[in-house]
Amino acid sequence: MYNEKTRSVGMKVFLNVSGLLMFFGIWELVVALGLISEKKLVAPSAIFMTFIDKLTNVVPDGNTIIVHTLTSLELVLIGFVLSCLIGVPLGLLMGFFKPANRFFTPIFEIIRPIPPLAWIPIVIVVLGIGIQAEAFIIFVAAFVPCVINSYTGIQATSKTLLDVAKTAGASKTQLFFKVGIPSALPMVFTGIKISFGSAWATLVAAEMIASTVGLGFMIQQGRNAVRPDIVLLGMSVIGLIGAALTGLLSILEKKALPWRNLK
Amino acid sequence: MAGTGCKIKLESVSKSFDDKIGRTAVLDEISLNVYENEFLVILGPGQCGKTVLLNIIADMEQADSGTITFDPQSSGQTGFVFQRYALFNWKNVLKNVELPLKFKGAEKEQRQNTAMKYIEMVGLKGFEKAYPSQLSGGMKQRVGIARAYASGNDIILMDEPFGALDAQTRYQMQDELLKIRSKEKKTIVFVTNNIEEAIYMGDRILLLSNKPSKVVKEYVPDLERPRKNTSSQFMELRDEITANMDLAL
Ligand SMILES: Nc1ncnc2c1ncn2[C@@H]1O[C@H](COP(=O)(O)OP(=O)(O)O)[C@@H](O)[C@H]1O
Ligand SMILES: [Mg+2]
Repeated sequence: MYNEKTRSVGMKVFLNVSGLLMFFGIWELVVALGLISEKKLVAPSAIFMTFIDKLTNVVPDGNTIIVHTLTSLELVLIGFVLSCLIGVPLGLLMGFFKPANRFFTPIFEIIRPIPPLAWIPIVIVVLGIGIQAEAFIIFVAAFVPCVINSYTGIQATSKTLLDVAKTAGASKTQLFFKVGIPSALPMVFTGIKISFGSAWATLVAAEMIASTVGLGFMIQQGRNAVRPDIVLLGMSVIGLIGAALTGLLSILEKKALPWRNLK
Repeated sequence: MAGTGCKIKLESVSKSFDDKIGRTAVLDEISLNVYENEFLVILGPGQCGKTVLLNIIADMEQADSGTITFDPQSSGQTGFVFQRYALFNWKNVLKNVELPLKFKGAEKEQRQNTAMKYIEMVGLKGFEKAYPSQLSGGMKQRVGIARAYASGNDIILMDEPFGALDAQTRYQMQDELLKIRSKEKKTIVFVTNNIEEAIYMGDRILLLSNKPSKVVKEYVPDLERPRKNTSSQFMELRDEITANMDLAL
């Protein structure tokens, strides 16, 4: 048993790594063989060199990669955390209490189809240009999946489990906190992960609101300065950090729901 | 109710549901008594309304008409054992068994002691910290039984508690339940669609018809325990009930 397990873990890692190697290998080759001009597509090795350079160099966008990254992270985290703090409780309440559902659903259904970017003009007018406006765009992008998943999750609470608690004398509040929320938690986490994905993916768009720093801004500047290496570096950092933080959320999920990964 | 040892009295309980084909009558004026400390089996074909009947007794559903009266000595609350276990996946065995007491506001220590007592009684000592997903079907239902007993109610309703188990585990659990029952007296209403199980377990058996279901017959097996399903009396009774029982729709 032990052997079989280690072998399959080894196999998994091997496939993960070889997939990545193949992706970057082909990319590197395409550029090295001149199939696509270096002026248009930069090889991974060159992006890495630009990364090393940008650790200290502030040209052409006025800041090091570290500052850009931290600024973007802060922005996304503000929008994302706010959306969880408001979206999750709202979804849970709507899914569990009929009056809350009737009250909020129409508003939510109207807001839901509006793409986050469509908010930009009005947000700039109301909140002005700055981190608040940018965070709001990210908030909107992350909010919808938070609400929907929490809502769906708590609605799927087993009627039998509610009956078990009811016959044992649980109050409506106890039913919500002790039965509804725990059974919704797996879906809530799914929502949080999707939310984070949307928040992070909206970063570049949000930073179009007259930012002067951030990964999205760096990409814009790279484009203006005809520096495809900077553009691709920005994209790579967004991709890597996005993957890393999603992984972190998955680890948190496993820690928070220990009963889900047994057997 | 005059102190006749009658725990629950159902009088003309009827229930219908609205569904696609109109209105379906499920229970048709069911009257029955449940006596103190008896093991009453309610036997009926699938879909005849057994679950609906138990749910009405447990106050999880309302009858359209008729009355249900509990012995005034009794709290009117019941422990319930569900066919599909109905355990809280995110709680370990101990927490699952404690839960009814928790909702009743019992102190932590008293809760734990009671829960441990019944966990031990159903043979799950050592599994207090396990989660339901780590248990077999038989063990899950042991948790279900422990939870019902730990609720402290003197009436326990069991809805096809062994219906989801394989035959071997089912026989084992039947014996286990009879053992538990001999250790601690409770009034048990046990629902099944299995004739042999009914004869093996019941002090008294009420046979229900297909829906709209009525009580069609009462049997009091005059068989010594432990009953043997190979004894001639057992088989005679089985044949008689078989002849009177509707086929499931
Ligand atoms: N909530 C409900 N709505 C509509 N029909 C129901 C409902 N609950 C039960 N029924 C119907 O009542 C009948 C009896 O169901 P049930 O009590 O579950 O049967 P069983 O004897 O197998 O436990 C079934 O035909 C079912 O369709
Ligand atoms: Mg049933």
